[in-house]
Amino acid sequence: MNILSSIAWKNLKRNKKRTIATSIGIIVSVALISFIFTLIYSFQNSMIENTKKSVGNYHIHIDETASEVATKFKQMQKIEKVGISQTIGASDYETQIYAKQGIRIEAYDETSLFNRDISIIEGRLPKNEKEILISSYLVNNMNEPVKIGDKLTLDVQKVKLTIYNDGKDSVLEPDGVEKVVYTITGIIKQTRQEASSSNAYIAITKLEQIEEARPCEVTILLKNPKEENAFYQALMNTNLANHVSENSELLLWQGATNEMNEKSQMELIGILSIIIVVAITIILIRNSFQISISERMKEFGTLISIGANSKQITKIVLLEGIIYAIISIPIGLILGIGIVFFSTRGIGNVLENIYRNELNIQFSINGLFVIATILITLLSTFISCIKPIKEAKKASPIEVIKQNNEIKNKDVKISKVKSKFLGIEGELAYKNIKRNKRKYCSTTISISIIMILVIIVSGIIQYVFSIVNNTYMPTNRNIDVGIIYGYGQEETSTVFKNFDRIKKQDSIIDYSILVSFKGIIKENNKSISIYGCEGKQYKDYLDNLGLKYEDTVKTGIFISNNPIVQEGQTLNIIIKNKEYEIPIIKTSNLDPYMQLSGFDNPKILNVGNYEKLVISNDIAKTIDIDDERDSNVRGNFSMDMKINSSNPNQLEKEILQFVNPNKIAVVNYTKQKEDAQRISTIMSIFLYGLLLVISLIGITNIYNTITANMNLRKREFEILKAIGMSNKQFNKMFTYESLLYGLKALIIGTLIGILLNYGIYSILKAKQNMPYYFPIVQIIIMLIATIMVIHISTKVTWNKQELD
Amino acid sequence: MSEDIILKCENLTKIYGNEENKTIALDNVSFNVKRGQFISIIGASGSGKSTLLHLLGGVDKPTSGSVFINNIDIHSLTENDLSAFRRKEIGLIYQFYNLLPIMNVKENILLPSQLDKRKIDEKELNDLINVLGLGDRVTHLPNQLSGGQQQRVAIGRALINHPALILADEPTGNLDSKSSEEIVELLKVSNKKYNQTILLVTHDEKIAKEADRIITIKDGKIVKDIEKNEE
Repeated sequence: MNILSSIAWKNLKRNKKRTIATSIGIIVSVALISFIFTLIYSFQNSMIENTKKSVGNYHIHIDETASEVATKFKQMQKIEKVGISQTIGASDYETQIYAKQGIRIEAYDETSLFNRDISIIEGRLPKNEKEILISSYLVNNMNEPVKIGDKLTLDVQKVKLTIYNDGKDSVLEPDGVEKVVYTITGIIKQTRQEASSSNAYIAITKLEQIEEARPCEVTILLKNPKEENAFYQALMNTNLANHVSENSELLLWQGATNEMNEKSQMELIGILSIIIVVAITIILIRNSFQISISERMKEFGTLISIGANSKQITKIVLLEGIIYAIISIPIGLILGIGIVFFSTRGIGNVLENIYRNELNIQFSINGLFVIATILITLLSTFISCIKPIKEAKKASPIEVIKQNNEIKNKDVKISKVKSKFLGIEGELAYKNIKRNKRKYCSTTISISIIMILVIIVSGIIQYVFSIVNNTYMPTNRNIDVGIIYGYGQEETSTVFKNFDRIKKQDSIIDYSILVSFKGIIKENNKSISIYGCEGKQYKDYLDNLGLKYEDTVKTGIFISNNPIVQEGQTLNIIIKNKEYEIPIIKTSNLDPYMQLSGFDNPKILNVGNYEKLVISNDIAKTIDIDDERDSNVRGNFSMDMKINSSNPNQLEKEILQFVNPNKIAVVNYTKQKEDAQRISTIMSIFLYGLLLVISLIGITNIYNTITANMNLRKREFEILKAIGMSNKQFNKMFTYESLLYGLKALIIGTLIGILLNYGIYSILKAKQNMPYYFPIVQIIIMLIATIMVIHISTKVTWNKQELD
Repeated sequence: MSEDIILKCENLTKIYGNEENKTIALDNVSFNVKRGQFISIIGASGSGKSTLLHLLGGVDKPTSGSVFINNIDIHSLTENDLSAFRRKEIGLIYQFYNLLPIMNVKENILLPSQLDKRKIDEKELNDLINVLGLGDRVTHLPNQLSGGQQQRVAIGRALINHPALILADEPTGNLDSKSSEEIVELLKVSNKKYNQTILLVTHDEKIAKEADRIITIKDGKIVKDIEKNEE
């Protein structure tokens, strides 16, 4: 070890307390930076992996194309993988509940089998064209139970592809029927293809030989995802334009899209957090160094007087920084990465429960991020050293020779009023603070930072709880089941069948069903909202009207301010060009919607200009409901069942066994509440933990500054004592000092903290309405605690000096 | 310049403060020092003797005038060259020792040569430590030593690089009479044994008389310059 590193090392060893405090500061910072990097990287990687599983490992998808086009892609340099699948044909197949008319046979080549959204629950992939995979969804709905190895005999209506209009358009045509006996080799989770198919289940077999006549589907995985856009645009200029689509989810997580999305938002938050962490680190390390340097000005002066040059002084301070970094970086890395490693499972489970799409967060680590963390820390350490180095270089040998290492004296003027008000002790305190403003600057910054963090963190925690509590949690039910509107939505008859099956489950205490759709009143050609009802809320509604359920099985209640038909008459409604005659048992002008929808405290309002009809589901089931299947915009159609169950978690599992989760949404409020609370608990632990560590560092920092400053004033204290200043007067002076700079720091911190807190509130409020939280209790606690820390630090140092 | 002149001081002036409030600490001081001379600089408090020493040691800059050590005008050197020059050619001894508290006796003594990246001659070092009477204290830290012992370490530190000049600023000012005598004796020994040129600032006439030459300063001017053989 050369002399410079020896001096640096020995200094750190001599000031163990400060060395430990500073190291903890850097460790926490490294841990936080690596935590943020690793968490984001793990999350993004997991999203890529999840997307590969749930959508497929490809960038571009081309459907209904000729086999010759498909094979051409295989020769392209840019492409990593080309997956080809062909539709063989379809067979009629009747199942228990669903209205799907048959099973379609798709043959996947090796690449497709491994790179599309095939997720095996049981069994294995098919090895030839006589083996098939079927979905658990189909298995659950089959009339007779099947298992792996069972045979499935199908009359397959084969198809061929005819291309016309210069390859721009194509049509599928029948190509003969063949009886095929398939062996079931595996049961898979429902593929997206099956979920979006309105009329067929999908069975997947192995593509052994590409047949020219059959329609082809191609999936393309490019070597470089960033080249996807150019490739896609090129394809859009060909005849294939109508058949090309992108795997936008995979492209998003692989960072191939430029627009602002979830990935870039996450990265932005990550970068902002890292900037805050780095800024705090720099302030903390710099502060610690500055104290260390100011205490050692005499040493630096001595070194300079015996011939140490600027370069050597710089090296000593830098070496100290490097030693700190060497000690702290590995520990911080292990901590930060370790936390992600151990928490990915926990957090993964929570997210999985919330998103219900098998989101699986896997731990992943990237060497580049580890290097980036190390570089960022080294850079922050270096930046922290710049000012202390400048100070150390300024050390004057003459001051050392003269033994004049006290605080430089400066004439501080004090007004007579102030002087009278403060007394001699206050005047001394005031002058002391005024004459070395810079020395107190670091303490002020430390206190302010802690105050700002306390306000921000307590605000964030409060807002998180607020978001959790604001999530709509109804009191009169715990499970909602409803149709998911959109392309390929479930048939209304199937939804009714699903509802009927749910009604029979054991744990149901009560339920309400509301089917909402539109019709036209024949008499005046006006649009009317129709509510098909069943269950508790409907009964309650009928009770209010003084009706019995039995009376309304075949009749309706007409809601209008000017009913064109009266009680006992018939209302003629036209739906999808069909006419329905509904006998009216009662008319009313009160809108029943809120009551029938299951609002906690429904407000009964006048119906206004609208006209509505309430009927029982017995009638609704006989109507060919306009489910807006052909409409582009959802307006008036919904099918919802609201359930109060004695065992909601079990019921949810049971429901998911027979409904198609891609078409029917099942919302379990109990679970949502638990999940949300778990997330807020994890966040609180993390944020409070962070706050605690930063506060501890801050307190050490305050203590160090005060001790250092008081030691420099030792001689001054001795003089004051010698001329008769009593302990009581000293105490009074110290109290004034604590109040003077403590309060200043706290006021600055509080103001900045409140501003930032309000900023965060404004951002979050845009997403969810919540009350503004002013952390008054925390501010008061901080005020008292800070003044106490300052006072105790002063007292302890004073007592030590007394002992000396 | 004659060969045995090691230090030449020409019209050295140091003024503190601004025009309205100026203090002339040194006023046009000139003198020469021969190699191997032991010189005492005496004067009352505030007479300018310490300022003179700081200017000679290159730790402070004169308002005007020059200081030549071994024919080099030290105040014309750059900051870095001056550091190197101080390291090699000047040994400073202070009233308050100014040892590095984190380093032991041996390390403190070796500091200037290590800063200069010089190879250590163990035999020479041991010899010096023995002369200083610190043979059984080499691994002690400064706070484990008496004032006299600490000052001896400081003298060792000043001597280790065989500087052209040793500047001692009230080296006995903080010591009892016995320790003071020991220190002066040590300085005399090093003057004789190593032919070391020494400039000692003191206000103690008894100590000053131990030197070959006594320069008296008053109000920033040399008022008396007596060599012993002249007496």
